[in-house]
Amino acid sequence: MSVAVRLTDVTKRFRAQRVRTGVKDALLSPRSWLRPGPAHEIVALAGVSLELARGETLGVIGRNGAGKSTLFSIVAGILPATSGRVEVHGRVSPLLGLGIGFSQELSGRKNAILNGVLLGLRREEIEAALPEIVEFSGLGDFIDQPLKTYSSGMQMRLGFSVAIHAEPELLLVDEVLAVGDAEFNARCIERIRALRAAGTTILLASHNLVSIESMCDRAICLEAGRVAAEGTPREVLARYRDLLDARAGAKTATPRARRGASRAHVGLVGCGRWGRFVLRDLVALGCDVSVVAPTEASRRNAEAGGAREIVAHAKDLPAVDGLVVATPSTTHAEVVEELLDRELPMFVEKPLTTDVESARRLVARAGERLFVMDKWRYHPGVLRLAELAREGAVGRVEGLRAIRQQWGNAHEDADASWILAPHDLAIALEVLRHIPAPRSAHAELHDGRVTSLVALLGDAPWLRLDLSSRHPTHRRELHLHGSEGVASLSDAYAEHVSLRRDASGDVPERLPLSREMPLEAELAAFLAFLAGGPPPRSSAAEGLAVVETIAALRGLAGVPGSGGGALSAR
Amino acid sequence: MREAHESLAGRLRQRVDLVRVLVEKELELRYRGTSLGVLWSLANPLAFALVLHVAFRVVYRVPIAHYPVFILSALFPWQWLTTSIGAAPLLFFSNAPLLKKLRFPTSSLCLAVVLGDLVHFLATLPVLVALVLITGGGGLSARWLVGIPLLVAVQATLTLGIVLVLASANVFFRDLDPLVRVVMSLLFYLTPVVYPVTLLPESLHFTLYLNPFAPLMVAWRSLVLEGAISPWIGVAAAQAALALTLALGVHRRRASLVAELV
Repeated sequence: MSVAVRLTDVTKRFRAQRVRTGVKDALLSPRSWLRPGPAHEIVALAGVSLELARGETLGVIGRNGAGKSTLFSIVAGILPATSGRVEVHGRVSPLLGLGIGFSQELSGRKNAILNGVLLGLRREEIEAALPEIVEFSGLGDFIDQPLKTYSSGMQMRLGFSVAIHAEPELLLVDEVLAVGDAEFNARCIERIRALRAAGTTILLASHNLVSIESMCDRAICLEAGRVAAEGTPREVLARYRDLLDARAGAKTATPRARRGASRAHVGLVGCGRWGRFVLRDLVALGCDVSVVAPTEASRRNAEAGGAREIVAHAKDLPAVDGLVVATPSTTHAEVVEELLDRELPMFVEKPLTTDVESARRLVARAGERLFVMDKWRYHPGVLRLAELAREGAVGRVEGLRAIRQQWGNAHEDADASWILAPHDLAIALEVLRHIPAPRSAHAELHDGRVTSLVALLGDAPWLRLDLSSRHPTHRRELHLHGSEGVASLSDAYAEHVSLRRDASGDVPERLPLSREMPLEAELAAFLAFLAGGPPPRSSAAEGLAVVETIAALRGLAGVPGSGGGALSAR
Repeated sequence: MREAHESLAGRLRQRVDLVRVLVEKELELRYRGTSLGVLWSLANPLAFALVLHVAFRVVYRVPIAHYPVFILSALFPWQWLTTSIGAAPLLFFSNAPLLKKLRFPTSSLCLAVVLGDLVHFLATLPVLVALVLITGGGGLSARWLVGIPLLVAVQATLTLGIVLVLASANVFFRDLDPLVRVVMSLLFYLTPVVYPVTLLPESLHFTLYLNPFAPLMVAWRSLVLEGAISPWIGVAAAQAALALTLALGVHRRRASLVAELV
C-alpha cells in the first residue's frame, strides 16, 4: 500500500514575539537586530506522527485550538514544520476555506477561474470544467453577475464547486462542510464520497461528528497539539466526547449529561430542511430518535439520518421520553396541541407560534413542560456577550444592537418578522435578561409580507433590531454598547468577540470563542433535562414574550392584518 | 492523475497562468466602474507634467527645449516604478487570506504587480509618441523598437527585485510602508526626472551609480529625446541583475515564513 502522507514526529511552534515592532524599536535597541526579544512560544503541534495510505480517508477531530488547522496547513505545504519530517505525495487541493481570493467586484466566472488557478489548475483546465462547476453550484445565469450580488451561500457553493473540480489526489477539507444550506451540504458530502470512492485520499476535519463517523476509514483526535486518540471513527469519537464532558464538568455546574442521557428516546416531529439537522445532532448525542415524517422528502431525510422508527402521523409515535417539534412555525400550535395529551416535555423550534392567541393558549395549558429552542442562547458568542454584560466589562449596559441580513427567506409560511426576529429577541433575553418594550418599528413589505424590519425597543438598556431578508450579503452582527465601551460579535461563525474599551487606544481585545455548535448544545441541554437536569432555555413564557413582542412590532410598523393596535400599547 | 503538473514545463505553464490571472484581476479591478478606465493612468502624470511645465518653463523659464516631451519621457517610467514599489510593502498583508489558506509561490504576486503596472505604462507610450509627433521634439527613430523593449525588460527586472525585497522584508519589519513613501519622494528629486542630467555638476556624477533609478531614467530620456541607446542602459541592466539576484536570495530564505507571519 503506497503512502500519500507521512508525518514523523512533526512539531510546530509559533513565536508570538517574532515580529519586531518596527524602526523605532530597532533604532532604540540595535541589539534586537541580533537577538529578537524574549520569544513567547506557542506549541501548536507537539510530535505528531501519522500515516495516510493512498485512497484512505482520515477524520481529524479536536476542540478549537487543538492543532487541526495547523496540521492541515503543514500537510498542504502552507506552513513549514518546526521539526520533524513531512512527506506528501501527489497533488494537494487544500479546502481550508472556501472562495479564497474571491473578489466581490468580479463575476462568478472570473472568480472561478482565478480561484481554480490559485488552487493549482491550468487556466484551460478550469475553463473546461466551468460548465460542470456552474451546474454543480446551481448558479445558472448568475455565473456572469458580479460576486457582490451573491448571497453568502451562493459564494460558498461556487467556492466548493471549484475546489472539488480541481481533481486532487489529496483533498484537505477543514470545517467547510459546516456551512451552506442543507441541500447543498448533502451534495457536497455526496461529492466527497464520490471522490473517496474514486480513490482520492482525504483528510477531513469537521465538527459535524456524524460526517466523520460515516465518511472516514480512520480518525484521530487532537488535543493540545498531540494525537490523543487514534483508531476507528467510533472509538475516537467516544474519546472526544469524554474530553468534552471532562471539560464541561470541570467548567460548569450543569453537566451536559451527554452520556447519562445516552439511551434517551426522543420523538422528532418534522424532518425537513431544519429537522434533519436536529435529527443528526440527536443521533450524534447518542439517543434513539423516532421521527414523524409526513412527506416523502422528510421521510428520506429521516432514513438517511438514522431514525429508529419513522411514522407518518404524530399519533403513531411510539412511547418516547420527550418530543422535539421542528415543523414549519405556522404549524407549531396545531402540532403541539395534538401532542399535549402525552404529557411529555416538549422542545419546540422558535418561534413558539406565529400568533399571540395560540401562544397564550399553549402556555396556559402546558407552560411548565413546554420549551422553545433558541439555539442562539447556546451560541458561544452570545454567551460571551452575556457574561461581559454581567461582569460590567463595557461599563453600564446601554443597549444591544442586533443585525441580521440575508438574501431570501427559506420559509414559505412565515415572513421575515417571524423567521428572523425570534433569533434576536432570544439573544436579547440572554444578554439583557429581558425583552425591552417596543417603541418604534419600520417594516418593508413585499407582497404584503415583511421583508425587513428596523425597530427600537426600550431604553437603558435599549434593543435595536436591523433585520432584512432582502439584502444581497449575509450579515450577522451583535454589538453590546456600554457606558465604557462596546463588545462585538461580527459573525455567527466568528472565532472571537472583540472588546473595545473607550479609554484604551489600542486595538480591540479579542476574546476567543469555543467552537461548540449551538444546536447540539441546546439539544444536549434538553436531553439533560429529560435525565433530571435543569430545564433548557427558553421557557414557554419567554417564548410567549417573543411572540407578543413580534406582534407588537408588526402593529407599530403598520403591517396590514397584524391586528397589533391593542398590543403595541403594552 | 495529471501528468502535466509533474513535469517542469507543466509547472511553468501553470505559473504563467497564475501570474496572468492575477494581472488580469488587478487590471480589471483598478478602474472598474470609472468611465475613463485606463485613461486615468495618463491623467496623473499628465497633470503633474503640466504643473512642472508651468513651474519651470513659464515661471522659472528654465531653458529646456520641448519641455513636455522632456519631462514625460522620464515621468511615465518613473510612475511605473513608483506605483509598483509603493504597493510592495503591504502586498503580502493585503493578500494574507490567500497566503494563509493556499499554497502558491508568493513571488508570483510580486510579478503580477510589476506586470500590471507595466500594462499601464505601455498605455502611456502612444501618448508620448503622439506628443513627439505634434511638438516635433524628441528623436523618434527605429532604435525605439529595440530600445523600448530593452529598457522595459531592464526596468521590469529592477522593479521586481525591489518589490520582492520590500514585500518580504515588510513581513518582518512593519514600518517599511511609510518609509518607502518618504524614500521614494526623496529619490524623485535626487534622480534626474524633472531636470536634465547635465544640470548635475561633474563632481556629483558618481551619485548616479549609487542611485538605482538614475541610470534607467537617463537611458529612457536619451532614447526618447535623442533616439540613442545610451551606455547607461548597461549600468541599469547591471543594477537590475544585482537587485533581482539579491532579491531572490532574500525571498527564498524568507518565503516559507511569510504565511505564518502575515
